[in-house]
Amino acid sequence: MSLGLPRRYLALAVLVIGVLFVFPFYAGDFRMNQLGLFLCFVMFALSLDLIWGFTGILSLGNAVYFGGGAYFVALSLKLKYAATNPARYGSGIPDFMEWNGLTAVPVWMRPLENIWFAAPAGILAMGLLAFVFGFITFKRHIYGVYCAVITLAESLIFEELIIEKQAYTGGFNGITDYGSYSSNINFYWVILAVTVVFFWLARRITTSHFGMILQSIRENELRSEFFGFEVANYKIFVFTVAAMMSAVAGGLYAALNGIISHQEIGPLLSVEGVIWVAVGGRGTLIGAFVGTILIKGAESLLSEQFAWMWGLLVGLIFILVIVLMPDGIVGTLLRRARRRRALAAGRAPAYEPRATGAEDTPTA
Amino acid sequence: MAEALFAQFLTGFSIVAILLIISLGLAVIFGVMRVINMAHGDFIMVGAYVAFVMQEYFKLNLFWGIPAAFLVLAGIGMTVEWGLIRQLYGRPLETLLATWGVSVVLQQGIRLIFGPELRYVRAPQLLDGDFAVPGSNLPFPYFRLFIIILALGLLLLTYWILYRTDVGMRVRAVNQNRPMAEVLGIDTRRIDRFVFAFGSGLAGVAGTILAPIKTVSPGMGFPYAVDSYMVIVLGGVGRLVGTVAGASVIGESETVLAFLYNNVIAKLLVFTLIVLVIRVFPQGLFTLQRR
Amino acid sequence: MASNILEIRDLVNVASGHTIIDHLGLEIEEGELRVLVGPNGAGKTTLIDVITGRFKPTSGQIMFRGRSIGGRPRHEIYAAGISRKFQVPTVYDNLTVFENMSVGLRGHRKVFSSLTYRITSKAAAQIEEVLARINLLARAGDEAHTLSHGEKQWLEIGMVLASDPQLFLLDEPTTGMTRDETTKTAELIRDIARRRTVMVVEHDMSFVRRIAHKITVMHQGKKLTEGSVREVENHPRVAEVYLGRQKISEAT
Repeated sequence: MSLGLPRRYLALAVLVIGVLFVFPFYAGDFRMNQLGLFLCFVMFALSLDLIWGFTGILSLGNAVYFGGGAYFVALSLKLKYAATNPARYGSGIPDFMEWNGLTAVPVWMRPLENIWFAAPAGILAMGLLAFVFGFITFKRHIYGVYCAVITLAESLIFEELIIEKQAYTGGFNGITDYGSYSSNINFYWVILAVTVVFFWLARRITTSHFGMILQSIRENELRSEFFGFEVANYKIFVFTVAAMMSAVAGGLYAALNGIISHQEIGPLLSVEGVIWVAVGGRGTLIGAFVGTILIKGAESLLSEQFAWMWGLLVGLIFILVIVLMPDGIVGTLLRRARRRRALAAGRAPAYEPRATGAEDTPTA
Repeated sequence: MAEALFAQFLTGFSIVAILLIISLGLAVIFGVMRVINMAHGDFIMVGAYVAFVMQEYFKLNLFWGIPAAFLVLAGIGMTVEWGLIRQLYGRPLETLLATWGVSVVLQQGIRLIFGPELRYVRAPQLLDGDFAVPGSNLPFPYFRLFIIILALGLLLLTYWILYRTDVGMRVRAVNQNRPMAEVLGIDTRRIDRFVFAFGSGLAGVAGTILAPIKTVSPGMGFPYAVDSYMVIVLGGVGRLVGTVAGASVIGESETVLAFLYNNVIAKLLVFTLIVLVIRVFPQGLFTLQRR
Repeated sequence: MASNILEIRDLVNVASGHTIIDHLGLEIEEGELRVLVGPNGAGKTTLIDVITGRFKPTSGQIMFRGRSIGGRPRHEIYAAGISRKFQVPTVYDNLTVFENMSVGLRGHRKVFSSLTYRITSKAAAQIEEVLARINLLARAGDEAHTLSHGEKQWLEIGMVLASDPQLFLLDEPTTGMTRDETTKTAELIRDIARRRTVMVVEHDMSFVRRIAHKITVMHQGKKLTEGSVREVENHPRVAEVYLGRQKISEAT
């Protein structure tokens, strides 16, 4: 099973994974939990890199799938917790249900009591949602700015929907107090393992012929259409896969965090994910890791002291990255390495388009 | 029930007017520059804060706030266009993301200056109270009537500028065929700056109008931004009639549906409607075909 | 007598109220090298657009090898064996020349089949053969954006060749090329036409003269005339349509 990676990158990857593996032993529980949550975000960012960095689909609403997966798991754990903790939950049902006048868990929610049903159900449900959305959007060649804006609206609507249906979702405060796997080193390793598997999977996809077609779609969708590819199908496929990845990440996040709210579903997280990928480097896979860890890590370290200006700083950094370093950190490094190699081979690199993606290709 | 429905329909008019005011600026910008300004909602928000400042520090009422907001936001718009949009010319997705950065900066900046608390702006006394809608007993607030009149006024102003002035003609030329306009000697960069400033100014005005209705806070702008995007997606690009159509359909549908069900269901249904319409008209209901 | 590979009957295409193709009839024989000329706005590119499925015909018929393809989806038309080269060199800037070519390779169009496909050495050899023909073999590992304008045109021709089309549609392939590049391109097209049917849309009459056997002249969406190079050049309406009412002798 070839990993398709040059020797030196493979060694680096093993090193990084090793560091992440032993991290809890040196950093303590709090940081371990933090890193676990960050890794969930990394997986989310990875899924965004697949659809945006490689295929050119800018979705500003993919947190819907992350949050969706999270809600399935959180609900399931909450139902279980409420049913088995009579001391805290006398009536055996979650608090937010009680506050909204429910006396028993609704029938259609019952199956969620079993986590081994709820988690896969969440993943499949998000996949289905993405498939339907992708079908509606991509079959009609809605892309570029229109797609971005529609996904943004979708995200906002789902967020409001979640808040509104408070009897079932905990409303604005979300789902809390359901026991969690925090400070559990084994669970941390599970998250790490899933992250590694997802990276491997993403690499397989992007280095395959399929992956190359995706990139061709990003570069020039029209040209690929006329080479006989049903571009919409490719987009729908990768969009669905990305959604399911996000759902897994969201489920793990919910299990680790112990709290889930509308924030995990709304436009804020959706756009944050795009920012992480943009800063790390889109179309590089590893950029998703670098960008997320860098920004989230800096946020946790700096916001403790500079809480008041952290938001402002992120905004400014983002603007600078987009304007000056559109390939992101990893992307710019790779591009420089390529240039150096080309120069060494005696060829002067000609005009280079700045970003790794073509923009709206004219349709008519 | 029928009377209540009619009342909602009337209220819907003012909602349509609000949508029109907040979308007009963006529609003009997007029509000419094909740029989605993710900070549009925050421009609206800044407009609301301008009204607040005028009220608290200058003791001037909303009628002064409106032109002040226009000028302030036109200035901000010009700065953003010059410093940012121009650098990313020809890359609409990049521009969209960069303006998101501007949005964050504006929100955080306002939060630093004014704090996160809600602020209140009063409507001018002149417009307090209701009047009876002729032909029924329904009360209709003067302020909402003012909004409708203002919306029509701004629409007419935009129309007049676009179709009756020299500048407007150049804007339309750039809108329809940018390379050709350049070849004919039109300074498209200048036009872009003008358009962006004008659109931003309109956003500022929208903010002052909304300030008395909704409470003013740093994060108030975002839902309006999304609303305005939907108006453009549905109504189409490059033609004023499209923006009016989009605002009307969305405004009335949302109001009536919100009355029949609730706010969130209304939004969901309208969103579904938009997506379905887009399937048939991928570029909106009334889009100008560019060569 | 060779059969017609492409038959267009009474084709009409209306867009935004304008009639761009106006009851056009056209027949191309198997193995021909046909050139389509006409002034700007005559509808030549739109004709290619309609044939390849970019636009649906408003009415009329397009038959490819006896099968009606008018209004069919683009991927079906491609699968039937029609491939086009765009007017502006349309390649994948950030993919290497080799990768560009492999996108063109015939087969494995469906999502699931491309997921499991690994490029075979036979396919790679095919690609290298085409790259050699278009003189880009040395650049196989370079990203396409490093190519010159003319090289990009050739790359796109190569990509279309890799898709092994039976009807090859080229839209102004020499746009922006130098004189030498144009000569090379003429050679290339003649070579391609030996084993396939080719239709070229062109403006540059000197280039047309070098490759054409038969020319079709289009004007305002209709077929104006058809014939050999000499017949077309001497046709009075052709000069009028291209140059205005003035007689050419008066101009020179």
